[in-house]
Amino acid sequence: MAVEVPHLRGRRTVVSTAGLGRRLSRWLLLAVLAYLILVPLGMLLFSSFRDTTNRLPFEATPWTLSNYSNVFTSGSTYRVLGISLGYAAGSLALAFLIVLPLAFLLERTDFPMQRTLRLVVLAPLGLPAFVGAMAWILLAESKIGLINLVLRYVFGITSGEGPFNIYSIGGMIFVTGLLFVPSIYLMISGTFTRFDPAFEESSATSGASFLTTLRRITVPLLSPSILGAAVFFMIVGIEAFEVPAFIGIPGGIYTLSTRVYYLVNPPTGGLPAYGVAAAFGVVTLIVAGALVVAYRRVLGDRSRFVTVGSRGFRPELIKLRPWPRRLAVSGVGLYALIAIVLPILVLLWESLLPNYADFSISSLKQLTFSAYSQVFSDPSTGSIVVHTVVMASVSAVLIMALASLTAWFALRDRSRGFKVAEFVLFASVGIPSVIVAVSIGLLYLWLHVGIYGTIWILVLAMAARYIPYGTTVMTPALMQVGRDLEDASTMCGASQWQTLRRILFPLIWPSFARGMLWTFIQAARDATIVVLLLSIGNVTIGSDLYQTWASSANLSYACALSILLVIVSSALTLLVLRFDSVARRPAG
Amino acid sequence: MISFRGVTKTFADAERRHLALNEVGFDVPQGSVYVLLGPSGCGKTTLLRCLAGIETPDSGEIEVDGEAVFSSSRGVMVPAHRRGFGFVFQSYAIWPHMNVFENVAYPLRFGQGQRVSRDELGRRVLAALDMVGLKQYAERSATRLSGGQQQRVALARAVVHEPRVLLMDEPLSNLDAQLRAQTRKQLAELLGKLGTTTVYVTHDQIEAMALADVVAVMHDGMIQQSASPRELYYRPATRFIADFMGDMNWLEATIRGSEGDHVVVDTALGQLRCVTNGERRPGTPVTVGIRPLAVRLLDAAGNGSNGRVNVFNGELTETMFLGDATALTVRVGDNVVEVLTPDAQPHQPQLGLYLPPDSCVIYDR
Repeated sequence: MAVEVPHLRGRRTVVSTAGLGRRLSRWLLLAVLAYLILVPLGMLLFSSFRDTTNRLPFEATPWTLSNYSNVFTSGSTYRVLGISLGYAAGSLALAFLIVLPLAFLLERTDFPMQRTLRLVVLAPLGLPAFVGAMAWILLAESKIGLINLVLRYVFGITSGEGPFNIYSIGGMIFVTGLLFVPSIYLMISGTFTRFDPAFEESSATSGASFLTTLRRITVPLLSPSILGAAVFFMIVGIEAFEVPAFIGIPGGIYTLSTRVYYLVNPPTGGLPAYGVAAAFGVVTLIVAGALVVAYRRVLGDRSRFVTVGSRGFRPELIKLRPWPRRLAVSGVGLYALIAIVLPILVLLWESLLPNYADFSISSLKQLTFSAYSQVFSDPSTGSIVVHTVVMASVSAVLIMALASLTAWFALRDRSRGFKVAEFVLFASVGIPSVIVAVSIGLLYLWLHVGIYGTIWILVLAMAARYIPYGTTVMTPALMQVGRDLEDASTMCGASQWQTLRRILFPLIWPSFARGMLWTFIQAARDATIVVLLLSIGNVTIGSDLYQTWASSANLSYACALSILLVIVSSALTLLVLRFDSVARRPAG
Repeated sequence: MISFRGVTKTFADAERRHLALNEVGFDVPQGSVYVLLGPSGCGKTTLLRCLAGIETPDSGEIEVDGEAVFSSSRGVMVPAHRRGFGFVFQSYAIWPHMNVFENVAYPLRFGQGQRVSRDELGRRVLAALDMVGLKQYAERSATRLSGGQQQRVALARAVVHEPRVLLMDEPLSNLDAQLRAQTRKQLAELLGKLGTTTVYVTHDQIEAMALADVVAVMHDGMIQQSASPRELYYRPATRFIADFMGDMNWLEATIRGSEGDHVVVDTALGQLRCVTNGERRPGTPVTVGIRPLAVRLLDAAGNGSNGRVNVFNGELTETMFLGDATALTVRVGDNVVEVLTPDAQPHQPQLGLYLPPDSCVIYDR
């Protein structure tokens, strides 16, 4: 009755314009996504076939295959590939060696203080990878590392070196493995918590012993989720830049990521070898792509395993006997000591000293807050912090807005365009940050739109890197909202805009906010993209610390800034985890 | 008055094209309750969503009160939010971030063309809540409602803006059996009071019969029969509908000829008079269907029938007490006839059965 216009009755022809608007915004969004993610990769591919000996790839220069022959005939390529794979696999193995017992103890047994200890396990999430690397260099550098000094003193070693040397592949694996622990824990602990005990109980009632049940039922049922996490973190290991850059480069150990960086920023000061770097990037992309395909396989398989009872019950906890319990407690304590306490303490110690010094009573007198006052008073630090905050906030809003729209269109409007977009987004989870940065750098060297060397190029790179992650946050959130809730609003006569504003947005807001916070943290503490795209005009905290550290200019300043970064990053991470636990609470 | 003409809708997934609506045409008289009944996947919900404007048909014409809301020939597609309908979803779709009052007030606040003063808004929302018996729950959070309460809030929200058409998609299917029966009764009463033209989708034939003025049975994207509940139950047009509506005794038969208003057929039981539906030549093999509930038992004196036609003697082989009724299995010669009777008394082993001709329906074999 509200819409009836009597004198027009019968001749009224309302051609729907809503459909047109939707089609238009759909294509616009697809174009934006393609521009952000695919166009830079196109530029990378293009550059890999150009001779860039003395020129930029898009200048008048011949087409060539020499970049690839260069990559494939050089023996170092295969060594770098081997190191990358070994480094990723080693870090993964170490992390799982720690995570699996931890997850079992904290999620399935009557371990004391589980809530607190879970936080302890997750605490290193607040530690940016490069800060972890810095801390472990201070702890385990061969000559002056604190742990080495202590061990040499205790055991009376007089060689002046070792026993540990952080600048080694073992050192890289050790630091990265520790840093992987909390993320992997988050990824797989849910499977432990919500594991339906009926599977095990029915095995036990069939007469199987505890060990048989573990071997025949528990492990096979958990393995898809563990395998999924393993493949995913293999990708993360391949793309890792910060630990290989901080620890590997000084030790002369190059991975695919740092190799690309080396080619684009030759330490000898020559011209960037864009062509070879691009060819290397394409190879890296292929390795990561193969892992993405493997990951998709594993995820596909996982749906066959129904391990999660959705009723929100908690399986009965296994009772630990006293002495395994004591062993477990000391194990968790040791992990906490190595993963957080030592790194934080060493950074704090160095930040309070005016010059580098071993720990001794006499140096206690020199302790000073001057490094912190430098952080707060130095105008250049001020502008770095402003850059970082602006860059990370704009990135977070842009990423989550585009990710939400993409997820919405992919779910609601099953058009072919979005099926392709969905696949491309899923696959681009595997595009290493280094590749994103190099591609975007090349693109805006060519496109003179005035963003090269500004923080806006960082924003575009962050968007290309993290939109895929954003959609993985928003897709389940939107799926939970359910189409009916939106349709109900339409049936009440509300326009598309009102439905978006009054129904959809309020309902997805918790996930949206959580996603924004998460992307903000990633962007603010990044030391990969910002390092590769570094110019005078876009220094952020990550790139500032990289420069300071690499030039060994001002150690206490670097440590002080790191400590502050860890505090902010931990606080924000804690907020994200709180969002998570709110989201996980069963509804109703 | 709603009218559908030649409405077709296909869904295309990866490889297959699925014809959800196949040239559907029907009319819903003003003020009546029109129930679309069918098994899942028959296209009934798609039809409702096309009428609502949430789905767009491929082709056809849909008119409401003489005005096209969809017409492929004239290029008309009135968007859902401009149709002025009310919709009750199967999931209820109660917004969890609003309380009961805010949910119900939504159409008046944000609906197209609604200009309602604050006072009137409050009055109308409370009136709608009062109608469904939830006036005292206005301030309660939507997440703290039981299933039955959510269903009633959904109904209040669908009618608060006085829609010209009310659409309901399986509104009772998420309630447990006892509550469903109770709510069905209240709903029938309420729909009668509202007098709004209603299109109601369900897969439950009892619900359909209880609520409908007209029931339309859908199968494979087409309306197979639309008729009054009684007609549909006792004289279903096809064997599919007959089976869908409830249990049926099936007898193989051959057409013999016609006699008065009835058709006479030969069956293994003997001669049987049936309802005339369509012309069939003598000798045509057919199947006769009769509801167990339509079969009557003759008393000890052999009384209870109209004369001696369609009366048979049988032997009781099985008795099953079901509470509301008793199911008897009676052997007549080599055939078995199922009988449903309210009489729970012990029955004689030898029984006389009367199959009323008006309930014996002939189907092509």
